[in-house]
Amino acid sequence: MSDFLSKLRCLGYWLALSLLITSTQAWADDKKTERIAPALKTLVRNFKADNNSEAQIILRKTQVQIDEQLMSHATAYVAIYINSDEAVRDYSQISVSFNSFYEDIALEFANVRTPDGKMDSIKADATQIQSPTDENFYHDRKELLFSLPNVRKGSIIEFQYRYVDTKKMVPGQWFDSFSFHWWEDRAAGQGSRADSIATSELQITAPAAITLVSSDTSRYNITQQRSTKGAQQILTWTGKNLAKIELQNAMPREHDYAPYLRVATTPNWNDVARWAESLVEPHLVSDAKLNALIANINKTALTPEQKIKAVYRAIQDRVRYVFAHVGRGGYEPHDAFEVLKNGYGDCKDQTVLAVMLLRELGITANPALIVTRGRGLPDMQVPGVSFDHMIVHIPAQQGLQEMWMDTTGETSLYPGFSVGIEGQPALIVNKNTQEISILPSRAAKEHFAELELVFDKFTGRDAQASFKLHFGGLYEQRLRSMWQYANERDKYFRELIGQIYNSAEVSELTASNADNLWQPFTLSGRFRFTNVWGGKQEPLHYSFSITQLTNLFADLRNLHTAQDRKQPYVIDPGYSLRSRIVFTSPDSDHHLRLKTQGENIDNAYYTLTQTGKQENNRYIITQDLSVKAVKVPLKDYGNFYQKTNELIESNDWTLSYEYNKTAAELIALESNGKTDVASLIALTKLHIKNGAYEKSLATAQQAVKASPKKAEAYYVLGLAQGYNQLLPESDASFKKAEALGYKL
Amino acid sequence: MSLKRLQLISAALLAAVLLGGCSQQPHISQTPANNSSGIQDKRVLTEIAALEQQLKQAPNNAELYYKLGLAYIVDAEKNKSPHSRELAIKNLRHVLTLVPGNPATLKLLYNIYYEDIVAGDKQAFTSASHIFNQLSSATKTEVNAPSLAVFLQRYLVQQKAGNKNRAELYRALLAAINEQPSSDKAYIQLAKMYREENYFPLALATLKLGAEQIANSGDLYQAIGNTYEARAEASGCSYEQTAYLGDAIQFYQQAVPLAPESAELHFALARLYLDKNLYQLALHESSILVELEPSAENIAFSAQNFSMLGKEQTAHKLLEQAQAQGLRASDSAYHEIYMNSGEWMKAARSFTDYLQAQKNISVYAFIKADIIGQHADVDFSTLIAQKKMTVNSEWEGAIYAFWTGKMTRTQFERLATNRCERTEFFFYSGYRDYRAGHAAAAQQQFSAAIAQNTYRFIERPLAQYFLTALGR
Repeated sequence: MSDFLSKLRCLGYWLALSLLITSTQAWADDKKTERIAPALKTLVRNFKADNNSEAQIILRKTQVQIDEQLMSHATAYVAIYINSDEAVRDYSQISVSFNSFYEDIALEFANVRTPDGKMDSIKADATQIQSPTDENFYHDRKELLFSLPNVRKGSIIEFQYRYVDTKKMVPGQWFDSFSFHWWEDRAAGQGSRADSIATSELQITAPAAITLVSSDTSRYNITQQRSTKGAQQILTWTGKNLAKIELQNAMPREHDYAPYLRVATTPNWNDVARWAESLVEPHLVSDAKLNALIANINKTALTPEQKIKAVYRAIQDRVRYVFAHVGRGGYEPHDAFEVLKNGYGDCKDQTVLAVMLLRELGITANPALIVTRGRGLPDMQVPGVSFDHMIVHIPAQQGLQEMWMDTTGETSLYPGFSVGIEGQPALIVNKNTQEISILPSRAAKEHFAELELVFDKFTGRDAQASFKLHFGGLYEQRLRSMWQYANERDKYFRELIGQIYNSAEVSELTASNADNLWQPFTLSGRFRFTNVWGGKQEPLHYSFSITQLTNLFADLRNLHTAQDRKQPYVIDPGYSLRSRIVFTSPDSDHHLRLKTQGENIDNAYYTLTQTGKQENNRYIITQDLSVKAVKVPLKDYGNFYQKTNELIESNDWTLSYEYNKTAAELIALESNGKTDVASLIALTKLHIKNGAYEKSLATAQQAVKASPKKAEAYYVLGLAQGYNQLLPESDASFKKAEALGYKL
Repeated sequence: MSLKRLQLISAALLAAVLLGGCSQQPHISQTPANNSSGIQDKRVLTEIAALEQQLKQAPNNAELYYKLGLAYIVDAEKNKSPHSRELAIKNLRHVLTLVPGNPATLKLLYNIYYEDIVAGDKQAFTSASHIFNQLSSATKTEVNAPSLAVFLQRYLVQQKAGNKNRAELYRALLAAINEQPSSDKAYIQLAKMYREENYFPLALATLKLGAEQIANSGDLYQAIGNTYEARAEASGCSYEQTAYLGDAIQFYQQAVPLAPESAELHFALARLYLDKNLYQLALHESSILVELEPSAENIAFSAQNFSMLGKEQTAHKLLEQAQAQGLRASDSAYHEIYMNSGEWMKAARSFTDYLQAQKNISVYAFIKADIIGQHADVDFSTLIAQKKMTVNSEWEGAIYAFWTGKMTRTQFERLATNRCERTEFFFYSGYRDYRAGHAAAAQQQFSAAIAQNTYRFIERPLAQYFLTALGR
């Protein structure tokens, strides 16, 4: 989902990365360098390598000095033992991200100790500051990038850099957050790694008069010490032998898996809310054009709901989402009228414009700072400025329920509430805000993909089926986004939808509402199945399985096995996959033979309800799979894995329409309404042949009644009675048949 | 003293179905039987480990999962391991997700579920039915319907508990017919059960229904023949129901081309032709029987047929052959053939062997002891006294009462209501006349016995012997 989530990263989330800061001067003056760690030789002497690990952090040490003005000066040192080719690739180039608007960074030294004990230092031309290349993002985020020479298996690398605040983001306050692991990007963009660490130490020195609040690290086995030295307080956190962090898909969003610390000079979120409001309020200004827009909306929209929709529509129509905030620090928006005039703006710009419009239209609305899912779910007990998105919060008021509106998405249905912010923390930008709000989460049934498939045409040996796919929630958003951005869209989608029936070709494909954010995106078209029916008296076989949906819309096939899983598994949000499949008989001489039915499942993770019913010449199945929003603890993962396998290996629906002479005759006899003894005898025999013994008894009795002297009538009555466990009666009927001349 | 060498309604039929249910389940081919279990276990474990290793490299390889499932089945059967059985099912089901409808996998899985049904697993029937319905028509002919497993399971439970709930068994068999109308097994078993309850018409109608559905089932035709025979016999004297015997012949004949190697069919035909006095045909069928299955018992059967027809030389020759083939000295063929030919000492010796082998004796053996003893001047009373006598019917009780003087001739005659009973009445009363020296009366009674045309009754050649002895 990263493609659409990327649009949510519109605020400068620099604070979380503040340990990695740089300056525009990449290379520090050697003369000023003061090593904060012991000599590498000493470190190595006390270090015991683990031959099974790819890499180990020998020491990570950070010293932060906060001055009276709450500006920080920090130095960070890292020493890493490299023990695999993979680690060589990943650690050969180190990248440190920072916000150049607020911070300055400098690399003080970087050395490599080769396996044979030689020391090599970084070359002067191997260091640079560069801007990330995100499209549509013109911002102050930059990276210090340096390459290390002669990194080989068995090498130890060390580097030290310093970073200082150059501007205050929140006047009168200081916030920071720290990870005790060293997170390094893997080569070729393959995610990140956080290797085991022998010692991780953070030391903050600040005037004793300053109050510092910090999050609880005791659950991570991180020790904290506080001491004073003169007028300074010294807080030290130390972690020993921290395990490597195994990053796996579907991990919990909470940051619990990695030791993590937040430190701030205030325990009150209200301080952050007031600061954010001070940045926003001055920009809620209008001009003639904006006033005209407000007047126009006022004319056409009468109810509060209509007004909100009109605002959403106006911004969708007139303001393109572009992040263009070089030299503004990431949190201060443009003026509302300017956003309208420019025709572009990022999340805070669009939010300011929306809030301005709504307030002028008489609707209470505030901006809200959001931490999106892309950033996980940080511990928000201690305040900080780690938001990466801004949307509009409309509190419950006359004629309206509380709602959250995000105008930035080009793929989200009104009001733009996407899965990327569901259940995430939000800070409503208002001077009265005292605490963090949690955005609502939608129920599993609102995130759905629904397939309607009707087999409706048979030509020669071929069959065709029409299909329609409806989507909701994350699927609606995802599929719409894919439709908007996919290269070779038609080919891509035909292949994608073709996965429902690998043996079929998607012969027609149409998308509806792709650019209409007021109606759900749908796909429709036709499947063509070639050489699937022998024609005439040959049977036509059908099958469908819930896995045909899960293979396309869920990823249940590639789960870790229980022994490979190292992290809890999270399904969030839950979702629903539904289908209604109509299997049609190729002609009236073919009759249904239901071979297997899909089973129902209900456990802690999945609820699958399936039904099948026959209607004239067709059989209709419905499937409703609800994948529940769950957090599966590691101890229960084996059970989850087993239940998932049971789901994907559960019975298919298999049925066929077979040419059935008996059934055809039966239907003919039943429908002709004849009550003569020959017809009734024939009908009795057919019922017996079909195993419909109760029916056979009724028709046999009618036959005897219709013709009491007919020997064969008693014969079939004897059979029908026998098969209905009326044995003495059966014997008497046979005797009567023989007495009337039936040869038995 | 009618010849009842073989029970006409073979109790083996049910066993055949029982075994059929299992034997039809293709057993997993295992390594040669001479492997010691320890080595076998190790080999299977090694194979499983190797397959699981290969699957790590090729996680979507259906064949590897199939082989793994197979290996677990071998282990499950060898070590009676439910865990291995579960793993076998899991792997085979996974094969079906990779290659839906794979016939070999479906069949293998079906066999597992079938066995589980027979073992009493209530969940297995649904699973088995799901798989069964996916089998191709050709594969279905190689397995039994799921409800047949239910029948077996319920039958075994009832047998063990000693109770009878035939309706439950009928329902299972009717369901099996419905599931697999192209298989004759359920029809045959259902008819057999009806027959056991003396519902012969329903049994016949069921079998004929099966024959309408299934062309060319020798077993069905044979079962119809058996049922007609049983129906005739159930009347008390099959010679009174010769039409049924004719029907039986007709269906046995239809079965022959479908099962040309079946000795049992020719044995039945030989019996029935004799009953119909078509003795040339009977002797021909006997010779085919011996040709197909030259066992001591079949040769002896042929010898008895010749003996009854008065062809003593051939009968003796065949008896010698049977003896050479290992016919036990206690076989009744010896003394009956010797009685027919009046070789009383030989009859006495072989009857002694016969008696010694019996735990219980019939009324007819008791009378034979008297007749042979009187003619060979041998006293069997001590030997007879050691045996418990069983009386199987009122008629047998009447014979015993008459023979031991506890019933008058008139009372005895009044109880003889059919040709079979009259044959015996005339013979035994004639023999009493014969022993009393009333030659004319004896002649009359022996002639009347012969005139009953109960062709396979031993009383018939004996009557002829005594008539000859009387100079007739």
